Amino acid sequence: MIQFDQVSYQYKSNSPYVLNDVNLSIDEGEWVSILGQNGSGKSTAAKLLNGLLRPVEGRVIIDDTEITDDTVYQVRRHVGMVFQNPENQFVGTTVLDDVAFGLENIGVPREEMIKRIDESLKQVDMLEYKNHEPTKLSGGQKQRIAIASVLAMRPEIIVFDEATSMLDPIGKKEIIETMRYLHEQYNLTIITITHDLNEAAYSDRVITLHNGSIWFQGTPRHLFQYGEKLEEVGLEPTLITKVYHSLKRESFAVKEEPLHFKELVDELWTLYLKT
Amino acid sequence: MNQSLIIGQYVPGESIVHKIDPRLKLIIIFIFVFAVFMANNLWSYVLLYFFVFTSVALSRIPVSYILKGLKPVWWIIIITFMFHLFFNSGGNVLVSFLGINVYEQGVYQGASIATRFFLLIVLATLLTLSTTPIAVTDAIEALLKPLKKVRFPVHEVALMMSISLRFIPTFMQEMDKISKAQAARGLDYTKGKLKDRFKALLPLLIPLLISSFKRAEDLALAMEARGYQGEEGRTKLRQLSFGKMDYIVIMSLIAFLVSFYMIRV
Repeated sequence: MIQFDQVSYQYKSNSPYVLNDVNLSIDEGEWVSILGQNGSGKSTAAKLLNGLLRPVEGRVIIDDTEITDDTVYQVRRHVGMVFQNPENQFVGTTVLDDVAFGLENIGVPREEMIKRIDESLKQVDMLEYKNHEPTKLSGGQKQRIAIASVLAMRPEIIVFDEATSMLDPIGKKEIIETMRYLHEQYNLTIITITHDLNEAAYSDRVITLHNGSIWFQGTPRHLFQYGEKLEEVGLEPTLITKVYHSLKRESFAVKEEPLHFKELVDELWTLYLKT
Repeated sequence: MNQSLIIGQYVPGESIVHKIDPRLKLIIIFIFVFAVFMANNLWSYVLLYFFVFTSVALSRIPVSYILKGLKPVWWIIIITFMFHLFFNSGGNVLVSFLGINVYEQGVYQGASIATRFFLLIVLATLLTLSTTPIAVTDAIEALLKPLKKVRFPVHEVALMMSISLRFIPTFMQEMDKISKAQAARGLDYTKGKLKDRFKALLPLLIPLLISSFKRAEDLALAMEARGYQGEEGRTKLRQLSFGKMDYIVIMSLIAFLVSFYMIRV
């Protein structure tokens, strides 16, 4: 569904490459996290996905269509994007207007628009806020409206470009729950750009970028096995990973690398029973 | 609290005044401006007063809100009235005290100018109280549409207006934050000479300006990602349409204008 074919990118012709000869492919219905520290090229990768940036070398192919000047508006209908700052991506004066904005852009007839707005607001559980102004919403709520705006355009792929990084823990949880719901209910292809390993733990596959190249590709469980080595590429191992790895160092017989809190707890009480 | 100044002026309601098409409201105000300056005898003024007070009554907006809107202009009204009262010397002397003569013309001119101001401002306040800013923007866009023929960027101007409206509260909050941050660093812009106070404003305005550029960049990116490509091929959610009520209002407006014309000398 998504293919990066030897993609390189640099912001200016004499500056270093932010992405260097990256090949990757993402299947339909997959949830992929792109991880990396600041300057690893992950945000650049996100912007390449819907033609906000065009590769200096190589090709980006979405649904068998290469992104070019002619296809870029077509591609943007299939690839929705949610950005980092909840305030700065809210275009409309009310929730209703904001969700309508994207639909107006792609020329959806008015009756259809009204239907889709209600539908997408329901999907993110924000229907009752339809006539609210953005100042009256929390960061997490604004971010959910941003998701609804994207959903209303019926994309097949949604890219979350650090969409949780400016939210408080509650907002963060809400957004991750929404991602999971959309992934499970509608089989949407989800790509999350993040440096938060807790968030990445929910995805099917993780791609870690480091200095513009792919450093790791595989399941989150597999990635977490790197333990403290993750710090070398600027990622902070989760508390779960840290506890697990210190247990392992003390040569406790622990089984599988845990991903979520519950798995670690299960691991711990079985361990306690055994000793 | 600050926000109520600009955005929160709107008082939600279900009255006729709230419900009529914003385009019609703007046209009425436009016509009214001419009417006010064409009034030339007592009865025509009475009719104008009647028109404005009926509108206010129909809107069911508490009078206190309208008085609040008048607050900043009371002084201008009173001063212009006084000015005419004391310095206009046409007609007969009406009263004379402490060596100052008050002439007939002075009273009449003063009263009519003050009335014009007063009526216009009450009606304009009524518009902002009964119409959401976004509806006003829509109306302006619709009314300016003919200008498209002379390549006036109507859609862009309307979009700029609505984005500005959207970001006013955001910038207010930001200004509040910055001024607290600078106060924590010892900035004080409430004391000292006027010149110093203006200088002290700079550390507030520059961060605000810089962050507004950052916001503009982010917003442009978000708009582009949502497929914005100018006016072409765009549909609109908000559509203005005239209803039965609007036609009734138009009829009464015509009746008002005709009787106004007849009453005038």
